[in-house]
Order: sequence, then structure tokens, then C-alpha cells
Amino acid sequence: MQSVALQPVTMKTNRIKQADSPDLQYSSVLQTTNLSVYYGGHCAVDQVSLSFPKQSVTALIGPSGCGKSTFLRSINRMNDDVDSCRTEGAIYYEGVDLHSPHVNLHEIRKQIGMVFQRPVPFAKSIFKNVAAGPMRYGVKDKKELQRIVEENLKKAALWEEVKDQLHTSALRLSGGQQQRLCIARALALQPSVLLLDEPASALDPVSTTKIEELISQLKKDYTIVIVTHNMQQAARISDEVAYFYMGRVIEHGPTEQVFTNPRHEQTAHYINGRIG
Amino acid sequence: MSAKRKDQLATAGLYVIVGIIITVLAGLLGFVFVKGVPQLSWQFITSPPQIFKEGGGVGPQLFNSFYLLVLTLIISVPIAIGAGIYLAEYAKDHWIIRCIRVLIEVLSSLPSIVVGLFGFLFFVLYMGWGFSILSGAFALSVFNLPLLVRVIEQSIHNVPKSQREAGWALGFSKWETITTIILPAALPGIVTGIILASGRVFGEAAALIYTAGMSTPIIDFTNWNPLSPTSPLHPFRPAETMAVHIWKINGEGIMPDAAAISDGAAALLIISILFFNFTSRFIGNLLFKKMGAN
Ligand SMILES: Nc1ncnc2c1ncn2[C@@H]1O[C@H](COP(=O)(O)OP(=O)(O)O)[C@@H](O)[C@H]1O
Ligand SMILES: [Mg+2]
Repeated sequence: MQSVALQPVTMKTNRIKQADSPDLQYSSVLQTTNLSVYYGGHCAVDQVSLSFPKQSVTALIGPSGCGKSTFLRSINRMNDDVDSCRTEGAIYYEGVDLHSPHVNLHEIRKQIGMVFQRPVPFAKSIFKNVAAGPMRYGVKDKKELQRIVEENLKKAALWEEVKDQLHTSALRLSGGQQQRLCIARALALQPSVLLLDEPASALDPVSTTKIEELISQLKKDYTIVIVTHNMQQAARISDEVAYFYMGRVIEHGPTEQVFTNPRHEQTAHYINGRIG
Repeated sequence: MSAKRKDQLATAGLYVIVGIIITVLAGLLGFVFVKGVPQLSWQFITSPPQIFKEGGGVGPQLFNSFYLLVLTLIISVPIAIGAGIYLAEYAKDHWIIRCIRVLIEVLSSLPSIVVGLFGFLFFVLYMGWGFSILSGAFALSVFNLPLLVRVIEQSIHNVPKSQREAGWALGFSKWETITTIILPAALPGIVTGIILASGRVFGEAAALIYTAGMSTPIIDFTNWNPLSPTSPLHPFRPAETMAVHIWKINGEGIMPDAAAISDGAAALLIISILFFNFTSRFIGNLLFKKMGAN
């Protein structure tokens, strides 16, 4: 039971080690093949095959309702909790099929963090918001928790603003601070992938800039998939772009190429319409 | 008639209705306080009642009211939290669940005398507990549970879905999400609900007449061993509460100052209930503030 449950973790460490050896090219952490997601009879994601290279930012763009969130949520299997939702195809994370009955859902979500469109701080102190995850996974030592909280608030560029009020309620922070807190909370679990669903769309421009800077920083250590409606943002922070339309990926490639020289007219239309 | 005129008339009508309600309420409270408050004294609050003489108090009754309340909460709060969590988080929309909800509604509108008679048949006679604090506490729990379950279910239900998803996204199981994220967020509402329900329980008489009984044996307030029959904590002794006492002396009180005692007891009862209401607001606000919700 235990060995099966821990399989993805051991795999992960093995793979990371192997990746350094020249004979094994292992550059994409996450990959979907022919992933389709249905709500009842409605197909929201249609045969999407994408791979996400390590330490890169991939932006998912496309009009509302084209299935970006659904795609993102199927990666960490949040759609399991939606009753009408059914998934076909495969998702590979570090070479492990996430739909295999042997994988441990808690481990998946620990290693693939998610941040939502609206900041969702818990009704707890700032400290406890960040410590909640590590405590769930067995960190009890006070000093260790203190260290984790500080480290991740620093990573999320929030430490300086909150270090004197760690034990006040997280609900008192501004929206932008709350969102960075949510990022810190996800980082505290030491994920290798971060899924961000329009993380800045509910925030003011200053907070948005902070989040963008943060994402550019985080990409050194994490693989990031971000949904965004803001083309300038996608251009600024992403390495690759995938354009979704009606549940399908119409175009996927390096950001520079997709923005300057898209292969599909439809992509050009969407991007120009959004920028113009 | 113009819309503006209609609006003015409606507003005036509402003012009149509100005025009537406030007048009735203020009159009622004023009457009880004017007659009752002068009777209140330390001696009145602490000494036992006299049957034939003047100068008795309501000490044991006051104690019984609080003791019963505490026991009732100990029994009903855990059950209500369990049921509230189940209904808010786990219950599917199924006909059995719908039946249960209807039953809870019915139970919450059950006249308390019916709850009392049920308690008499079940706890007093069938379980063989006699007229006792325990029978009373269980009867009050039956009376209290439906309201409490609904308040708690509602408080849990009001926590946004996004909080649950954020918990799941950290790899928390459904149960871990409920206990570590949802319940703390729902706490202010739950506490307010419990305190408000306490006020209702505290003033209840009909459900207790046939369960906790209408007498209090001689109890020794220096003896706190719950197993000793003269101890105030003994769960199998009869225990008349304030509300029941008021009802009793108005019916069959033969002490010369029965009316005065009844007035004093009524004022004391209302003060206690107002106290519950204000504490519930205060604690609720405090918790909300602590959570930083405002
Ligand atoms: N929980 C759900 N139940 C049923 N249909 C849904 C649900 N969530 C999304 N959908 C549908 O799936 C499609 C894709 O939605 P979504 O993934 O939210 O798009 P996007 O994030 O690109 O705006 C839409 O047609 C939407 O109506
Ligand atoms: Mg979306």
C-alpha cells in the first residue's frame, strides 16, 4: 500500500537525477496526450496534446469558455470532484500516468500546485495559511514551520510586507497580497509545477506587475502553466503559448513566434483583436 | 395615485407597524422590569425558595437552569455539528435526504409541550430516569437540535465553494478540508447560533415540566461529587428551572410573597436571555473581527 502510494515521489527523484545524465533526455515534466474533458455530453476540452518543458512558462490563451480552466483543472484532477465531469486521454507527470489507479491524489496535488483567479485566503492567520499544507504533510516542529513560512513568503515577494503581522488574519490583506499569499501557500508544499488560472485578473495594475515579476522569478525553479486573457502579459512572461478555441488547441509554439508570426489566421485574429 | 405618493404611504404604514411592535415590546419589558427588578437582591438570587413563608429566593432554580443548559449543549452541540456537516457537505440530493430535511423542519416547529410529553414517555418512563436533570437535558436536546442543526448547516453552507477547492488543491481530503478550513471559517456563525439557541433553551418551561420535574430536593452547594444524591451536579435528581418555577408559583404558590417572587424571577429570566443575545452578538462580532472579515 505504502510503496504504491509513494510511487510518484520516488519516481520524481529518480527522474530528476536521470535527467542530468546525457543519455536520457527528459525535458518535459508534464504532458497531455489526446486529453478530452466532458461535462455530461458537452465536450469542453477536445483531444488536447500539449507538453510543458521544465522551468518554463506556458500561457494558455483563447476566448472565454474555450476550455482553458477545464484543461488546467484536469491536470491536478480537480475535475474529479465535479460530478458530471468525465476525462479521456492521458496526462503524464514525470512519466507517471496521473489517471493510473496507483497514483496518490494527495501527492499529485502536493507536487502540482494551483492558484485560482480570485484570491482564496483561509480564515486563518497569515502564518497558518502558509503552514497549513506542510502541517498536513506531517511537519510539526515549530522552528521548521517558521522557516518554511519565511522562506515561501520571501519567494512570493510578500515577506517584507507581512513579517510583522504573521499572526493576524489573512483576510485583512489586500487582494494583491492575498494572491501572493496563495502563491506562497502553494510553494510551501515544494511543488514542481504551478497551475495559475488568471491569477492577476482580479487585481489592480500594481499588484498585477508584482505577480508578473514573481512569475518570472519562479520560473527558475518551477514549471508554470498560466491562463491569461491579457496578451501583453502573455507576451511579457511566457516562453510558450497555446491558443485554445472551442476546446481544441489551434496553435502552440514559442511565444515570440506565435505573437509575431502565427501559423493560423485565427490565432492572429484573436491576438490582434485583444491587443488592438 | 403617483408612485411617489404610494411610496410615502407604504413607508408611513411600515413606520406605524414598527412603532406598534416597539411599543408592545418596550411595554412588556418595562412592565416585567419595573415589577421585577426591585425584588432582585443577592439574597434572592442565592437562597432557596420558601414554601410557606416570605423571603424565599430562587438560588437552586437559577443553578438548575444553567446546569441544564450546559448539559443540553454538551449533548446537542456535537450531534448538531455532525449533522450540520453531513447535511451541508455530504448529503446528496436524494429523496431520503429531502425527507430528513422535512423532518427537521417539522421537529423544529413541534410545540415544546409535545417534546416534553415525549420526553416523559421515553426518558422518564421507558429509560427509567425519572424526573431528573438528565431526562430534562435530553428533552431539551430534542427541542434544541433541529434549530441548531439548521443554523450550523447554514453557516457551513455559507462558506464559499472556492475555500473547499483551495483546500483540495493543497491535497487535503474532503474531511481534512472541512475540519481545518471550513469549520474555522464557519465558526462565527456557529457560535452565534449556539448562543441564540441557548437563550431559547434557557427560557423553556413546557418541555421540562414532565421531564426535569417541578421540584428541587434539598441540595448541598458544598458537595460537588456528581454521584452523591445531595450534590447539585447529581444527574438523576429532579431539577426545577427558573421558567418552570415561575409557572409553578403562579399556579400553586402558597407563600405570601408568591407574586413578588414570580416578578423577580421573571425579570431575572429576561435579563439572562438578553445577556445571551448580547453575548452572542459580541462574540460573533469578535470572531468576525479576529478573522478580519470586516
Ligand atoms: N462545472 C461545470 N459544469 C458544466 N459545464 C462547465 C463547468 N465548468 C465549465 N463548463 C463549461 O465548459 C466550457 C469551458 O469552460 P472553461 O474551462 O471555464 O473555459 P475558460 O476557462 O476558457 O473560460 C464552457 O462551455 C463552460 O460552460
Ligand atoms: Mg476560466
